[in-house]
Amino acid sequence: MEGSVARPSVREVRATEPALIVERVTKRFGAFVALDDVSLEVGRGEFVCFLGPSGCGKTTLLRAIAGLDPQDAGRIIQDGRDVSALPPSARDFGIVFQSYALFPNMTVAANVGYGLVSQRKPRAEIEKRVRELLELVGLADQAWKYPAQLSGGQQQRVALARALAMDPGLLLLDEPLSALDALVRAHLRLEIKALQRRLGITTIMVTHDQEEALSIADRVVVMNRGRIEQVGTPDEVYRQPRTLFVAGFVGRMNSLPATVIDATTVQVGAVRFACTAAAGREAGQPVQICLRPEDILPAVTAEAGTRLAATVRGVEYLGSIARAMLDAAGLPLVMEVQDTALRRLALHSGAAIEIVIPPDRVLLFDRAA
Amino acid sequence: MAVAAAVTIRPVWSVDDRLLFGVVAAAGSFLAVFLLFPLATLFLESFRDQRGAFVGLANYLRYVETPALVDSLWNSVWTAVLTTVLVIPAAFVFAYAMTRSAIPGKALFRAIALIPILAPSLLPALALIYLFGNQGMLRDLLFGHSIYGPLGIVVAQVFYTFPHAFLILATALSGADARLYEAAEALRASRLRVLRTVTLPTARYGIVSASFVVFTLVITDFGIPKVIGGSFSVLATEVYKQVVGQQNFQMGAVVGVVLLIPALVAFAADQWAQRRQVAVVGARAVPYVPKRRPWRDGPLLVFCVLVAALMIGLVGVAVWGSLVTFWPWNLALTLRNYAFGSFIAEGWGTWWTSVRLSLWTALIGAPLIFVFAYAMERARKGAVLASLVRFLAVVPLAVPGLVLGIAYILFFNAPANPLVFLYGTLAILVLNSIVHFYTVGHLASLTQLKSLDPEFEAVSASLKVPVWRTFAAVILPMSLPVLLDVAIYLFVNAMTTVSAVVFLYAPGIMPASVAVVQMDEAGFASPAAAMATVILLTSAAVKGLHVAADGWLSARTQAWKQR
Repeated sequence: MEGSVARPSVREVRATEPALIVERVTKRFGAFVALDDVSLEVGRGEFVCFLGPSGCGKTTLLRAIAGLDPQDAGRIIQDGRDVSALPPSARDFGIVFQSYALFPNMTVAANVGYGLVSQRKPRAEIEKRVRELLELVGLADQAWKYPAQLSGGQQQRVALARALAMDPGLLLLDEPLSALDALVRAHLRLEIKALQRRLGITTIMVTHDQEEALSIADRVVVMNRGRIEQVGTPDEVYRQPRTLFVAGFVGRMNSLPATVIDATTVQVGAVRFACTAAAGREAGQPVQICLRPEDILPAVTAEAGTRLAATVRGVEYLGSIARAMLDAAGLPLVMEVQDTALRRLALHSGAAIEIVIPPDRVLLFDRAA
Repeated sequence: MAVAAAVTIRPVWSVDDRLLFGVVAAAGSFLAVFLLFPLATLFLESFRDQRGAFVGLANYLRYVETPALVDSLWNSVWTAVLTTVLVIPAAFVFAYAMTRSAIPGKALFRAIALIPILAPSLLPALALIYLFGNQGMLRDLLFGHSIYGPLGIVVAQVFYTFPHAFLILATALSGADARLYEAAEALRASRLRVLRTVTLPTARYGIVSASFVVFTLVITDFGIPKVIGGSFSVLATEVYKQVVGQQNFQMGAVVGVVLLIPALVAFAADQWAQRRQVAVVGARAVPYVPKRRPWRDGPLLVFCVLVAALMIGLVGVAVWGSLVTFWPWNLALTLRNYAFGSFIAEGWGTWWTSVRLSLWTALIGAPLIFVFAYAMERARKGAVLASLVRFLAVVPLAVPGLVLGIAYILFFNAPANPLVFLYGTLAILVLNSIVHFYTVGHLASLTQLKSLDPEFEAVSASLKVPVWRTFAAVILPMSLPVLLDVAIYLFVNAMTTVSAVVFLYAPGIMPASVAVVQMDEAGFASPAAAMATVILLTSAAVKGLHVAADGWLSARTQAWKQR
């Protein structure tokens, strides 16, 4: 970005070092453990999403990183500097809240320039910077409006411009899109991502929306009950969930209790599945078998795998895709097919079809007996 | 690999943290010195004899053994209960008419109903004396009963407490969710059943709250029983007699403690009721818009006209009486009663004292209360202290003015107190008034602050803007209307109050409200009514200015609210 204030050279020297290190952070609210010994590294210029159900600790972690609700134990190191005990004002971040927290009594320009004015910068310089920032978020013509006169999406951009005004080393986004309509949300998510790429700013976003996290993040941090379940790229988290929780939380999943038969087979009820993931597991071990709905294929394909006869119990039509509720040899399975496939197969309630499940798409997780 | 224990973090306090903590500590010190310490002194004094020796419960024993004192407790309680029973249904119907009917002239009715708030409580009592007193015009209507005593007290109290009950009930009733009524209608519930199952439950806690407020007002009011009580003694007049009449501070302290008990019980019950009031109306409620229904609106209109007529009638009689040469024998109009100099040494100076007292109370009190509330609400460090101070801030609501007054005498008049120089000055009257009316301003400020986004300060910190700047640039401008409300509330109350200042004024700084009591006591009923009228007009003028200023302020500083 032109006109952005030059970053301190220290950062360039340590360019190989992670921008942020979270080390064994624990936070309690009374007896409730909101963060349980959480460790994490965020690379420079990386876009990381904290994803999880409400109460999983994602916002708590973000607020600890900002210093708004400091952790009880553990360290937070930003750009090689231990900021664990520092108040927010002594740290280096810009933040956008779900509510945006725009100052309602100030114009858009005054909101964006709020921090700059406080630093006693020359008026002309402030005006120039504010103009730049507003152009950056596409609101140059709205500078003299009050927040209440803007749409939700526009308010969100003002908040973003304000967070970027001080040229922070770290951008924190706390569910910035959840107050918006679905369409605006999808659009803004692309814009945020593009902006982040352009500025190369290290960014952490908290969200409970898995689609949002998968689409926007370089890496996704899946959290549950104050712990990190998995850290990985969006496709890793989706295709190779490391825990049953991740498997169930990210995307849709058929999940059934099963038992390992041998290195290539598991059994669910009376049905045996060929399964490459069973390799290395002991026979008789109780497991949970997980199948993505889109990995259950109509048997018209040439794909090899477990073949089952199934009856369609119902079809949920969603436009580009459809979900079919199946009874496959007594097992309740949900299958997802493209609309084109739906037409071709003429799936309807009561129809009998054959399905095939590729052995490499069957996920297994430990299960207590 | 050996796992080392994670380092425990002790967060560093920022400048903002220190500033906010400092303000909370200042608020705590202020309330400690001007509320807690005086009350503690009062409490200790009730266990001492005249020479200051500890005597245990001796004073209390003497209290229960003195029939006159025990009678006054009983008298206070039953007149308060009777007033409450009378005023709540009337105020409820009136509030119902204002919020749930389509009668015309609501704004006017509302304004008329609030008149008593602007006048000292003595005003209705003086009017009753004009009508039913020894020289009363309508004396014969009482069939030989005397207005001096419980009858006069209860009638005057009903008039005086009506607006307080009305305001609470109107608030409770205005929070109606239209969807509930639509649902009830869709389920074919009868009108009566809707009233019983929808309207009353939403207003239930408002009724409880209003009842306790009225009860407390009556039991702690001093002006009305003083003027119209005759020989009928109540707690409030008894405490005055002990302290001012007999200089018996110890017994005064005992009566003060006794007076605290019903007030505290009422306060606790009210807090309980308010906590339950909260979630009746969700944020998504659809406001209820009453439709025209003649069979309901007609009787309600008649009732409201009746109430308004009584209000205006009673105030009008007091004003008229103050303008009359010699009630009721010579009704020629005169301004002689307004030449206060001929009835009381300080004359019009008392009015000026009251205006100064009220101005200072408003100008110092409102910003102080707001800044303190802000720090309590937003301090990130020192949570224990903040919650303690927050508790102290609601205590004044439970402390009757008379009790606070005696407590101030005992605390600030002690020679050992370094603050003794305050005693007998206008400053102590101002401080006393700020503390006496602290809670309502505090709660109004808190409500306003809670309506502001809690992340304003977090955003400011991330932008390296100090908290005082955000307070000045965002919080204060957005809260100006509330600040003005609080200032006006303080002004009007300081203008009309009698109960605490009656113990604290000194020669040269007698407030007008005390002058009303003094002149009435000296037999100058008409000049007393005249002074009460002047107070009413002053409050009304300030209230009028407030309405105008509010409009101006909204146009000037709240432009951002427009879409």
